[in-house]
Amino acid sequence: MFFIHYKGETQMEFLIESLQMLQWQQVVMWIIGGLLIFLAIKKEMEPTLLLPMGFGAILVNLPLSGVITQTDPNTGEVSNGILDVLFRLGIDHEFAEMFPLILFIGIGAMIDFGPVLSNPKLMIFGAAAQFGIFFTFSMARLFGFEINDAASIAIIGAADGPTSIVVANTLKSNYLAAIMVAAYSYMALVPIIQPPVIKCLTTKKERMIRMSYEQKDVSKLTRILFPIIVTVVAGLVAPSSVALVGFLMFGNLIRECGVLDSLGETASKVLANLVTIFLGITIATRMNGVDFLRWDTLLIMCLGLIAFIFDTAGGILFAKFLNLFLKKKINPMIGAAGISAFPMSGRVVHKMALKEDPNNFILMQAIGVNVSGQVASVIAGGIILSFFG
Amino acid sequence: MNFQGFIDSLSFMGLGMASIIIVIGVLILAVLLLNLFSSDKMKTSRKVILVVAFAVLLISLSLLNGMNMDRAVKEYVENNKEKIVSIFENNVGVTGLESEIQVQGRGFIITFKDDTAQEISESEKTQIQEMFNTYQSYFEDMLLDMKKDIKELEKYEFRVTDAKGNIYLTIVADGK
Repeated sequence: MFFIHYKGETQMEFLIESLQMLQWQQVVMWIIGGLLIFLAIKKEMEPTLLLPMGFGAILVNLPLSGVITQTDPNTGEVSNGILDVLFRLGIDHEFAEMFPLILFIGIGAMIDFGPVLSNPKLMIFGAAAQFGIFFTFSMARLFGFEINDAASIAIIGAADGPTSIVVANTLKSNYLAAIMVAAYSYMALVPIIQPPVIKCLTTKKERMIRMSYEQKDVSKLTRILFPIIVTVVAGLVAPSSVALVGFLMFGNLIRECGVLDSLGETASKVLANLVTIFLGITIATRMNGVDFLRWDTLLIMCLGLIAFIFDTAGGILFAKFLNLFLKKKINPMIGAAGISAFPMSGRVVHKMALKEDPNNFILMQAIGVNVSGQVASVIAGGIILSFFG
Repeated sequence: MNFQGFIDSLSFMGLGMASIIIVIGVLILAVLLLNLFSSDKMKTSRKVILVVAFAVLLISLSLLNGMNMDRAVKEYVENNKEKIVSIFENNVGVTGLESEIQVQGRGFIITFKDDTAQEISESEKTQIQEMFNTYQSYFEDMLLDMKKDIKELEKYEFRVTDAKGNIYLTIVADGK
């Protein structure tokens, strides 16, 4: 007997209640969720985030999804679902964007700033490769986005998921989900996006420029003082970046101090993994089909791509500009590694150099610039917040 | 298409890139100094000189900054006396009273003379003070509003005196 007797009536509508409320946007979001899961598993594109986001997209787009709101069947009282609670606690500005900031401790504990410290001049390419952020801001304004939304969209160019979350949330952007999806997707697509841009802007001769690399030892004192100095300098110049830079550098200090190996390992592995799990699935809270499937989302994805392209171009063109004055030329491709997508961008540049000349090893320089990009992108986030926060 | 928005945003493009290059430039300089400082090539005496010079530079900068902030508040108060008085007149109901403003550090003291108040007993003073104390948050909100005009402003003191100039009400708003 399949009938359920309730309040004297024979009802089985509940079995199809959800189905009756299904909207086409939700079905599309299932497909998008499935695509994200496919890209994460099959193509191994940022699987740590795309997989939870993909699954979350399906989860929140089930009609009457209990992960967003819970309805008491007896009283009809509506309360927050688990993902909504996680969003409020972990991502919402009300609680200072806890998840992305804590994730920064883990990221800081993972980064070896050695290549930058041994050749600090490389850091300038990290700054130049943030050009895409400011260019995209102007483009977003051109397409009619409000200032806070334009700035949040522009920060996709930081190629840094947590920074994008913090900035978009602090600026109360209406497009958080689209920005997240764009930021993480393009980070994963760096090996596809960057090579054509690099080829367009450099000649074969330039790509074949060899750069000598001298291995310099970096003292422990330098490694310890570096995160403190970065925090103080960034904090004084762009106070809004203190939370971002401070947490990143705190993680790095744990790594470099030499007396907290256990904490460093926990931060870089357990803590980072734990927060990533929650972050990915919680971001999906804002992937509600009705809100997500808009022309604006498509436009944001395009603007995100523009941001990555112009980041790459900014770094390369700056390197070419410097070459006008340098006797010992630098390979302009390393400028492209100044985006924060680490270590993909450094590897892409290295592979391209090897392709042109199998004996041209610029990995260390490219990785140095890539690490600089991580610092620069966070500072760029702070500058954006200082301007528009 | 928002062409005006695009044109307006171009200044941010320049400003943003300039800001990030300056910050990174400072960091490069800091790391170069740090490398020099931590290398064996540098004598200990020079390291000490470097640290002292850096400390002196920072202290000088902070003192200069403090003086600039004091000056900003002084200039604001002196140039906006009427506006400040009207803020108090409109919000606290002291319209028509003779007023005086004195700059004090990063704040000011505004005093209103109530000529109608002749002899106020100690118990009356206490009663008035206690009543106004309950509006402390209201006075703090006024400070926040004024900070929108001058962010360096840290506090103000609102005083009311009787006809003889004896203070019978003092409210300090300092954002704490």
